[in-house]
Amino acid sequence: MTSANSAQAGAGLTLLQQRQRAAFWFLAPMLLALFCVAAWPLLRTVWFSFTDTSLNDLYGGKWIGFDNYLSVRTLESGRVIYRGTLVDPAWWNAVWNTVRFSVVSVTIETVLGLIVALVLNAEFKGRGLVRAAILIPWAIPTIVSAKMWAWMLNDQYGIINDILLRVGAIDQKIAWTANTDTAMYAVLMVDVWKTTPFMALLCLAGLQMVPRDIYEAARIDGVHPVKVFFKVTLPLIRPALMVAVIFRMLDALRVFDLIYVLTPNSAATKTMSVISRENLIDFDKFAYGSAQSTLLFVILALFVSLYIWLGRVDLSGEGGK
Amino acid sequence: MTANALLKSVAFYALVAVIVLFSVFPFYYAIVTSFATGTGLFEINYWPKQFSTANYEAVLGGRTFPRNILNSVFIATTTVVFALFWR
Repeated sequence: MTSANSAQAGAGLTLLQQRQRAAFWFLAPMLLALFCVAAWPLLRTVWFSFTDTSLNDLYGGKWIGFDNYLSVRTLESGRVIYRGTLVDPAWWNAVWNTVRFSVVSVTIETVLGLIVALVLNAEFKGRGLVRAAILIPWAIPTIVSAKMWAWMLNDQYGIINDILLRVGAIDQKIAWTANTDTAMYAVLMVDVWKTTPFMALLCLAGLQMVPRDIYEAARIDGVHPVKVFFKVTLPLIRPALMVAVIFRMLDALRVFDLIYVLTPNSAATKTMSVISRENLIDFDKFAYGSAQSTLLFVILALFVSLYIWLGRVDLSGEGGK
Repeated sequence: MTANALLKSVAFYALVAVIVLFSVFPFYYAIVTSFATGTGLFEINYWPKQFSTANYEAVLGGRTFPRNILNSVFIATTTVVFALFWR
């Protein structure tokens, strides 16, 4: 041991340890708050999913194991009965709806958001005003915009039908939200309208990090703008885009308010959040709903892990070039 | 070359116009509708036809809405203050 080390040992702690300890105390209030608002409710939901708790008696639930997820019972006649969320067609319908909604809406929003961001990144008169206008859909609360769109999509008095009739895109008025074939399109339409500004904003932040001289060099070299976009802009804003997509994906996978307001009780658009709330509150199957909430969490976690994992694989592939 | 540039800038501003129209129109329509009364609500008007502030008077003069605004302001203020200073 050197003398310097022994001197520190005499003080009780090394500098590193002192710093770590200080950092812990600075972090402690936030960790406590996070535990109370994030970890505790989550763990409690997971716990509920393994019990037979009902909404009337939150503390009287008994442990029943995996029965809410899947229970197998063999009758005396030899017939095997499967019950639980994992064999519930309504649940898998909701999962499919959610995945379809998320993939389609996030794809459209990313493309449109990128286009809008590219437009806003260009210099033109009144850019500030246009930027402010773009943010209106995002600034309106989801409940309000869902109600607003529900009225605009109304089959008799809705303006959307009127516009489409005038343009000649449709022959007769469509009951957008009531019809099971079009309900999903209606929801997607509103979600794209509402969230494209968010994507545009995140893409714009990425675009503004790209140094201007790269574009100048490309222009001097006479590279076609389309090629510049795919070879210069897109790779450079890719990290920002990846983060934007994962934010949106998380948001879309747990979508609730928009669908709950716009198309309540429609099997065509019912998502995982909507169906679990329905079981939790409406159907008085609290534990069953908790099991669905837990599955929702698991599916979300899987999705995000997969995305980050695949994203990293792609990134390392680029680094190897 | 100038004709080409002109075409480009026209196309660009058309795109800007489409984007603005797409994002602002529902909001605009909501405002137009908010000034309509009675059966005017069930007509589809692209331009403000009626101008009646009756709906606003009803909402603002009602019992609950002023309180609702106060609640929102209170929550917004306290959360911002806590987030900023309570570290």
